[in-house]
Amino acid sequence: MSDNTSHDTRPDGGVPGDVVNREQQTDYLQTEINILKPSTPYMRDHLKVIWTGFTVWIFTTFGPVTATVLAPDIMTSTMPVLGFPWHYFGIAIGGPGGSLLLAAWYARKRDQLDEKYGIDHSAPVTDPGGQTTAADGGEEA
Amino acid sequence: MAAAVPLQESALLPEGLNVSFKLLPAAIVSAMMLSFLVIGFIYKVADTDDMWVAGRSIGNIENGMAIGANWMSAASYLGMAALIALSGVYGLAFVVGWTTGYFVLLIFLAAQMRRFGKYTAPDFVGDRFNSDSARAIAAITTFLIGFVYAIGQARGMGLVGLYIFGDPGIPGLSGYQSMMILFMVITIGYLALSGMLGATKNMVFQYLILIIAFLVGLYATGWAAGYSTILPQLEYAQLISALSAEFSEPFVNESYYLWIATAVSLAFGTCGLPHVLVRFYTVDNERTARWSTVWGLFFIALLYLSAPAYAAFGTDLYSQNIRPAFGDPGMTSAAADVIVVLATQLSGLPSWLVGFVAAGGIAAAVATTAGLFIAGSSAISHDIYANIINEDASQRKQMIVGRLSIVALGVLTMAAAFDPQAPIAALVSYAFSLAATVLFPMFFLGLWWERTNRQGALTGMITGLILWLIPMANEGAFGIVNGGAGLGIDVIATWMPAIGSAIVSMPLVFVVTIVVSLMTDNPPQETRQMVRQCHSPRPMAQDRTAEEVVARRTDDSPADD
Amino acid sequence: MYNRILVPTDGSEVAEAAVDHALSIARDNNAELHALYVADTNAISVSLGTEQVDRIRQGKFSEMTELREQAEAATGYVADVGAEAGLEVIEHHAGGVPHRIIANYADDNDIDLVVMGSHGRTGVRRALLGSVTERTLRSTRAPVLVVDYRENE
Repeated sequence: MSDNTSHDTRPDGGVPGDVVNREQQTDYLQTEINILKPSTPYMRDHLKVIWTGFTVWIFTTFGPVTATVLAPDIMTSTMPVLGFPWHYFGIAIGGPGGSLLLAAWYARKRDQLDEKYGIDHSAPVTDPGGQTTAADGGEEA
Repeated sequence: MAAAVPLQESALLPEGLNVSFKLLPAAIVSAMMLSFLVIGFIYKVADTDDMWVAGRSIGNIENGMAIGANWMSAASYLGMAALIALSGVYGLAFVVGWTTGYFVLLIFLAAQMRRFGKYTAPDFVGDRFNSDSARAIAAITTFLIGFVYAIGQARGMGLVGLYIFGDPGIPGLSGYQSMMILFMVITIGYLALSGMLGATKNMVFQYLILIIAFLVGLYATGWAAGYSTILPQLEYAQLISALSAEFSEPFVNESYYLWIATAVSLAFGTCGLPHVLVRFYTVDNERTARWSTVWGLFFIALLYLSAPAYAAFGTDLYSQNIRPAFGDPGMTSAAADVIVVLATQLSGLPSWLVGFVAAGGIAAAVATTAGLFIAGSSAISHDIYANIINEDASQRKQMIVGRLSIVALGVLTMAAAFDPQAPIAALVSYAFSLAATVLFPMFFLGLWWERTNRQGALTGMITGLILWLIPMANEGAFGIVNGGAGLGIDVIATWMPAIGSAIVSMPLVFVVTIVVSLMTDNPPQETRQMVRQCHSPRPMAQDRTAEEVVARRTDDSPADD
Repeated sequence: MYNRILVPTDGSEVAEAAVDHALSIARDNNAELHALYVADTNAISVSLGTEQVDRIRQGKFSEMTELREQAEAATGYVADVGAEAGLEVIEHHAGGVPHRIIANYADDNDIDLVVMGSHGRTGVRRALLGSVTERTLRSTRAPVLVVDYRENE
């Protein structure tokens, strides 16, 4: 699956390691994308982040209201300091707030993944104008 | 929606609202709409003398505000506080559903869409599934979504308009209907004018004006009525215990199931809305796509954390000044829909301040409707007309078709909003159910499972459309079936409510799409590679969509795989 | 006298009607031909949405496949026809308000003659849709040759 590799020994001065090298030699066009069976190192890491985030999301979004069904007496009692009923706070503030925090967390994680694999979005990715025989069509140094 | 709705509903007259012509608020509304036009004109797109030269990038915060501005509709501004006041904890399902969906969008769709890089949602469906029929269905769905969503906005325009302009007393038309028509006409005029002037939407300005109007109203109301000082978003907690149990007691108005169904429908609907996804095609790169979403969620949260406070204040003021908000007859849904304005008025603030808040609500409705109409009309002119019917269509021809579609949308919306059977937020939710049922599965499966093919997509989308129509017919939405009474089948009404039907339909569409895709042929190799390209972490060359990267590769090495 | 001739084109038959005339004059004068395609951002913002205009603004034209292909086809036609006649053709793509861009281009590049096609619309249709050609006529000081499409059947 790593035939036809691209350019890729970029001098990113960065991350050593087998994993990163293996990743850089992967040709994505030959890599099957299956959300349940990640096949490259990057996809594995990425999907770990995604599934973790999604699981936490389910809890912050649906957790408070479900807890209210399961334990109504505790949930409707008033919290100290702020004075909200627990369930109201959990739903009205926990829900949106939780998603916001998760979103920032995810974006940070992705940035870290990018660093790990030496990906730089701000570097201009030039395309040798048009008719090239570049065998990788789209990923350049 | 089983909220208690007394009979005076048919006249749609919010009780307690000071319905009369007010000069200053009328001037403020006009000024606000004009300012959008003027700013759009001043900051209109400068000529791009050379399209091949890199221009100015749009940063994360600006993109984020555009995302926030997209969400400042009558549903967020007015409708949410309405449902929180009317239906207590059930109303919070809307707060949760309309914010948390953005996280799902972020992790599953944002970056991948950026790499796919087309123009519109039907573009994605048509190209990913190699099918003009799929494209057409997606375009029709986009048009439908724009239409249904706009009906909610029209209702908001009509109700708030009553505060600003009063009831003109046109024979045959109720005050609400006259106002609704007036502002819908203003919306179309606004679109036409901005088209002629070349004024583009300035999303940053729009967002700022609307959030300021809302927050000023909230702070002023809280302070004037003695509820809060510096942070009403937290201080309203004290008020909750004073309000009748129905405000905060869980599940007294609606069941747990309905709460979950609604939240699911709204969250996943967010990920299926064409006009939301389109923005991701145009951001600079994937990192920008991610961080813009984070900022967008922040700007949205500013409003969404404030709305419950407004609802609390409003409920209390209503109960003190008009009649107890809960019980029989309680607050009508018409009054609830304008609770934001009503609260500001009842707390004794001067009419210009109330007018400012009201103007915000109307401006939100007009701006959102304008945007929706463009999304709907572009589905017709770009996706159906230019891509399927007349492939050689010039820009001018497309523009003509687009303009006609806008007029058509306007007329349809006005007709449907004549007698809307539900509150603003509910009307808008129907559009979300549609998006979650028909489009989201296509986006998700299209991007994450390369095996999804044309047959699967077509079957899935058609199934989705049918499934969406069932509860709509069952509950008599838009007064169509049985003059509004609908089919009235209880089992469906309980387990597949129109307001949250996606909880049932979306999984079904997933199953159908997957099964049919497995039973039929693999999609072509180029298509599968296109999907793979969307997941590759390496930044793509500036001028490539995923499709083109693959096309290049295939040209260069024909003996592929 | 005519050293540089500008042919604005949107790829339509109306525009292409003018190309033959431009070609003939260019040949006689051994002139340089300029082919200009203007993406009408007003039309785009109405038919596709403001986000697409944002894209042009950010210089992402090369990503906008259909638009780019339309532009390349429009000016490419002129380039092909010109090449056959042994003439030099300069292709240019811009975005904005068509008549203004054309007028600016003519000024900036010392254009001696602008050759454009026209629908020859009258009455209501003209009132509703206007005419880029007419507006260009009024915006530029260079001589303009208008070739009416209807006659060119």
